[in-house]
Amino acid sequence: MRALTDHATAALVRRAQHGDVSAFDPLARAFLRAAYAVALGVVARPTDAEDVAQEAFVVALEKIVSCREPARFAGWLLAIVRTRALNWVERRRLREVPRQAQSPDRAGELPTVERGQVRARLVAALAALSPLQREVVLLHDLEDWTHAEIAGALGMSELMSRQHLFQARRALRGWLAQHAPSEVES
Amino acid sequence: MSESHDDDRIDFSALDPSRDRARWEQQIAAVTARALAARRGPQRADGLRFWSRPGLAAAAALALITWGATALRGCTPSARPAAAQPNPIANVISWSRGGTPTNAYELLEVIHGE
Repeated sequence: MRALTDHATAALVRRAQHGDVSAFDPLARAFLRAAYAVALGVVARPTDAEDVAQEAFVVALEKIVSCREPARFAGWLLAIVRTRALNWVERRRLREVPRQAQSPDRAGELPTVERGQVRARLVAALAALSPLQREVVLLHDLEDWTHAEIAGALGMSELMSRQHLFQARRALRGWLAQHAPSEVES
Repeated sequence: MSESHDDDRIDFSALDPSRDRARWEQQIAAVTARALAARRGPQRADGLRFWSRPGLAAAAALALITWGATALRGCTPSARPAAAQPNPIANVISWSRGGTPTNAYELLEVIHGE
């Protein structure tokens, strides 16, 4: 469950919209992890996801006056995060294509695998999911959001959120069972 | 809302950015500081924008007063009789005829066409 209710969130957003910068900190505390979860679902690299989440959050706070429905700040913020994360992936693709062309021996390497055993396995397993499944499972199991909160932020029904979570977990477990840690780490 | 599937939860704690508390606090602080800095920039511009209109109005009013005063002075009949009015051209002519040098002020008046 989120740290802030919709009502408390709306109050903070309105304060920020009226120039009260002391509202920035509680908003960041309440929603930066969710921003990270969505960014991770798109960019698939934890360190990059942190950068994208921070950057997107700063942008959101900069233009917070354009958040028309303060109670729905989460959905508005996550849309900004998603857009910036997709842009980031596109920039990375353009950066990395020439590099991969220069070193064909790295072509078969999973782009999402990073050093670190558990972390690398989780990231690689997440890559097997659809973007929406990744967002739902990360918001639910990492960020601890309820289905109602996920549904509200991602613009779907609670039932759809439950279905995505179910499918995501099943796919993750299947991937993790099929891929022994040594395979991923090598 | 309580979730009935908590037992099925995937353990993502390895991906949790707030596991390292100090680093997480730094990230929160960085976001807040960057947002503050970004907001202060436009505020300065807003301040300039705020004062630009009154500044322009004051300048326009000053210009109007100056122009009005100049126009009034130009329309006011001179206290001096016409005969006493300086006639720079006549002065220069008399200077050229008589060889009497005129003063610098009269020379400047001729140059400026007054």
